[in-house]
Amino acid sequence: MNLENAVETVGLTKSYGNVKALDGLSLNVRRGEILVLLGPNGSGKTTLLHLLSTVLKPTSGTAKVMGYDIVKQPLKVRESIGISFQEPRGFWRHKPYHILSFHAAIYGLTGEEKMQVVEKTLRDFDLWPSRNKRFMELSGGQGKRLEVAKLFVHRPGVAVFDEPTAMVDLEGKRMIWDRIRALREAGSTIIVATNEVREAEYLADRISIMKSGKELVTENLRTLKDSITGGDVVEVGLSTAISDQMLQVVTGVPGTVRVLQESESMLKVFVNRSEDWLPQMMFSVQSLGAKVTSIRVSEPSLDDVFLHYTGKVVVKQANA
Amino acid sequence: MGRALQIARVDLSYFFRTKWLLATLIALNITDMLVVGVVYRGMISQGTFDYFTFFVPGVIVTGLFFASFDVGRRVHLGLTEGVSQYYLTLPVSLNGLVWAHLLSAGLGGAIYAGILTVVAAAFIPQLVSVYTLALIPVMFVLSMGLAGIAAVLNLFSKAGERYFVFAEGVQTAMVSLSTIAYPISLVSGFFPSYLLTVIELNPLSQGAEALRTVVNGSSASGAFNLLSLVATSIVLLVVGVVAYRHVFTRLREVGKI
Repeated sequence: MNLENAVETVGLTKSYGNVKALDGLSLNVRRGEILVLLGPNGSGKTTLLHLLSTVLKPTSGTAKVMGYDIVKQPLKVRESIGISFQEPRGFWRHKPYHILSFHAAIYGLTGEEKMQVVEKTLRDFDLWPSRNKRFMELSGGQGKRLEVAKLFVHRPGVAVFDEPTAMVDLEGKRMIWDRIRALREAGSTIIVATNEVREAEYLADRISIMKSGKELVTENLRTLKDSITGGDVVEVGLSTAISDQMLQVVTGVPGTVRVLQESESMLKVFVNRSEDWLPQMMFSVQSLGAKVTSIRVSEPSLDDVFLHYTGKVVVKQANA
Repeated sequence: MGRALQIARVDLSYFFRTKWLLATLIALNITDMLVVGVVYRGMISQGTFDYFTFFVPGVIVTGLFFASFDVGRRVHLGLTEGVSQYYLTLPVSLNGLVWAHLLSAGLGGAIYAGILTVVAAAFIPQLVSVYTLALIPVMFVLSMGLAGIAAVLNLFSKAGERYFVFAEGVQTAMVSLSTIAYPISLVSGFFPSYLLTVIELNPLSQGAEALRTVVNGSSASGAFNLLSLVATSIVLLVVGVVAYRHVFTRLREVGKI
């Protein structure tokens, strides 16, 4: 195992009967990074997280967490990892204070230290006023925050969050994201599974896009956006009317994917990397004696990247 | 082991947090003792045979059985609501998790039977005895053993209401086919011999007989009964360990039940 990696999987597969929930996944998570698993429902994100945290046993393949094999050394793995489940886990009649106290005790906190950590965590997650409510009486958002809060009690080496802000309001989302980033700053490696693009953009050092139990691509956000052919859109205003020769020159600039003439002196050009393309285009246009009067660049959003890789099509609803 | 004890503690606390269930169980058991025991004593006691002192040890063992058996309900809830999945992520071994549940069952049954014994001792002074104290560890082992039966039900009831139906059926059968409410001599003329053997081997019968030995004064046969009770409980306990190991291993195979 590469010491730079907190998690390594090789050919990791989990099948339920004939259905492969995870299909030969090979993935590395670097120490100290936030890796976001982005994928549609049923893409295998949760299955991967459950395998890493030893809730599930793989059908085949291997995975190591902090150097420990999830099948051969499950106890060591459990000491290194913590998971915040997609759905909050707790007995109906237990109360948030007791749930976190139990969690703290399991990880060796005792006495005053335990009480202080539990109180701080409850306060940090805005759960202190609800500490004596029964689990079944918590709202969806409170239950979710309690589930996330567990990992801030024992601060594992690898912290795994499955849709950490589902059911949480906007203010709560931002609070949870900031705390997850702070957890990384404190030294934890973070894996977040989500299908919320904004969450991925806010948190990720790298994003792994998954579909049908497979990893499609794992890169940082910049590289992912750049990887879309013709993803950057540049609108160029020129000082003169656009001639055929001008169109030919612009089309010939390296990185140009498609050129549309929007008006007499305006071009819309789809390019791979606008930052590489623009200087070359300026030079070419100036060599024909024209001047660039305006430039507007828009890069693809993570939505575009996600849809590009997962092959999903956004269907606009027809007006009734 | 410390972590397993934490799980046992939190599991046990859930039993005592289910206040209405607990209140109903205690009310039923005390009603059985005071109403059924007293009324039937007046109707059927003959000579030295006192139905009240015969029946009360049976009620105590029944209480122990129901309290111990509740671990099956808790595990079932844990399996269906995902709490067991959470336990599987904690740094506790599979054996630790299994023993945690059986231990909490043992403690739940022993504590509950202890409460009933204290209530019963107000009416049966013989229960205030060193023999009763000596029986506590035996009752604890019996309680863990009875939890083994609940573990088997957990193994065969995957989801929905099935566990509760199975549990109801098993509890009714075990109480009916035991010497909790009647001496075996009373049914020896009616029941076939194999059923009489079942009644004799039933751990509830053996537990009740052990307590009756205390009430009636200890004897050599009492010591034999205790040994037999402990042996039966240990067999059931082993069955429970195997069953819960299967339950949690299967959970790791199939995910949430």
